[in-house]
Amino acid sequence: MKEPLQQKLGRFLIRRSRLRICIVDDEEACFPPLMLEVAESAGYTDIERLGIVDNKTLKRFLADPPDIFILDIKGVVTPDVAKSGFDLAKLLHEETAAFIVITSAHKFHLKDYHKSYDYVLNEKMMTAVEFIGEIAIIVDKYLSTKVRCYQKLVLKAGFKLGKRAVLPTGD
Amino acid sequence: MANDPLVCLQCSARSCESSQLEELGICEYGVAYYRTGAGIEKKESLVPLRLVSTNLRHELHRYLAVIVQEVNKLDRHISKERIDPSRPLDRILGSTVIIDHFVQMLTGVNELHAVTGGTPEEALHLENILEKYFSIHSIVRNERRAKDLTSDFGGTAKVMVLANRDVLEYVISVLIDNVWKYATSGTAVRVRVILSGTGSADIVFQNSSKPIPPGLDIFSQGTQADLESDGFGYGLYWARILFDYYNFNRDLQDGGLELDHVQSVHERGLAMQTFTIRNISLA
Repeated sequence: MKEPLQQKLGRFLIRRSRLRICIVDDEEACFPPLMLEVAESAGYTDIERLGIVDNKTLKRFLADPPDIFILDIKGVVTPDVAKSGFDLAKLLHEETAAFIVITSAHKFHLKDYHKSYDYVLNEKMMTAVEFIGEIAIIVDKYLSTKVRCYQKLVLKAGFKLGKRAVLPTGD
Repeated sequence: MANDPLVCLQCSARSCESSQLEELGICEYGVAYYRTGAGIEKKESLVPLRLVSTNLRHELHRYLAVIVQEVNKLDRHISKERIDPSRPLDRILGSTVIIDHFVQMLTGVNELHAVTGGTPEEALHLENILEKYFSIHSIVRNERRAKDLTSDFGGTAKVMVLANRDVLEYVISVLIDNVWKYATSGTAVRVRVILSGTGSADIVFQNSSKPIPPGLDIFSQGTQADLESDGFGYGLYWARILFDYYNFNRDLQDGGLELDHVQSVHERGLAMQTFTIRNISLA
């Protein structure tokens, strides 16, 4: 199928800018430093690695989200943020235009939660080479949906403007 | 029944229903049952098997991840997708894949119970999967296992199948493992794909082995056709259970995934074993 011009343009623009990825997993062995080092040498130079998300981090995410989140669903949030990684994924999926990837050792459980993510990373027991392969798939999927993400952003901006127009200003 | 354990509501195997009068047993999901004249009484343990297995998997998984991480430090380019059985690090890595499979065998049925909705489907490159498991299952060597098998996976390279990746990959692994357990040393393992023309396919596995005694149901739990082999009679039973659940969760009465077996005995005291996975959706 022929790719629309706006999608081609989107891909070009995205590739010109540095892609920001944030990985949240409480188990260091699942996304260890070596993996990130190899990913960096493969061109993914802006990967943030966190073990847990607290309220301060969540505010930062909402104000300036990375392009892609890779979220474990267990043990990654403080109680003031959400009940579980699923809730965090749902929140970020609804409130930002970021591409949400969820992952868990309990991979069968992931498949019940369709609405809160864009992609399921089934394999957690990865080597660095396999991680690069997965990242390439994720980035490709992200790029193919990015145009829709822009549309989503415009829609959200439209909603906010619309709300401001109808809500009392408090003056 | 109203008082049945919750786990029974999603059970498609119903092994308790084939029990005899006054039979006391425990099914594969940890539910104890007792057949009385009036019906079947069922009771799940206070700590359900599914809870134990879920936590067991979580605990073991982190240690497997550590092994993978440490192997990776020694070889930055290593991958589970390309296992070379002659390399020590590859042998360690390949072994983690099999341990992970056994953990899934212990816990997977119970985890599959949690699947209620549709699942995201992923395409699976058949030849890569076949080569991967053919190498991995050759890692373990002993006097009972086959030696010097060759693979003949011609024609499967371009076939991308679309099914529940976990389930299908697992069953392929079981069938390839069986080949290393039961095939005649020095023979070829042949895998072919038969396209149906309606977007689905069958995968046919063939290998030479000793004949299986007639009348033996090799898909029943604990069936051992060859007592001197490495097998303990669970793999094929488990493969069928996985397909049952796959079909049950998708409400597939007809046209669901199937696994069957045919044997043809030859004059020289050998037999050709043919296993076929049917109704696989193509990507």
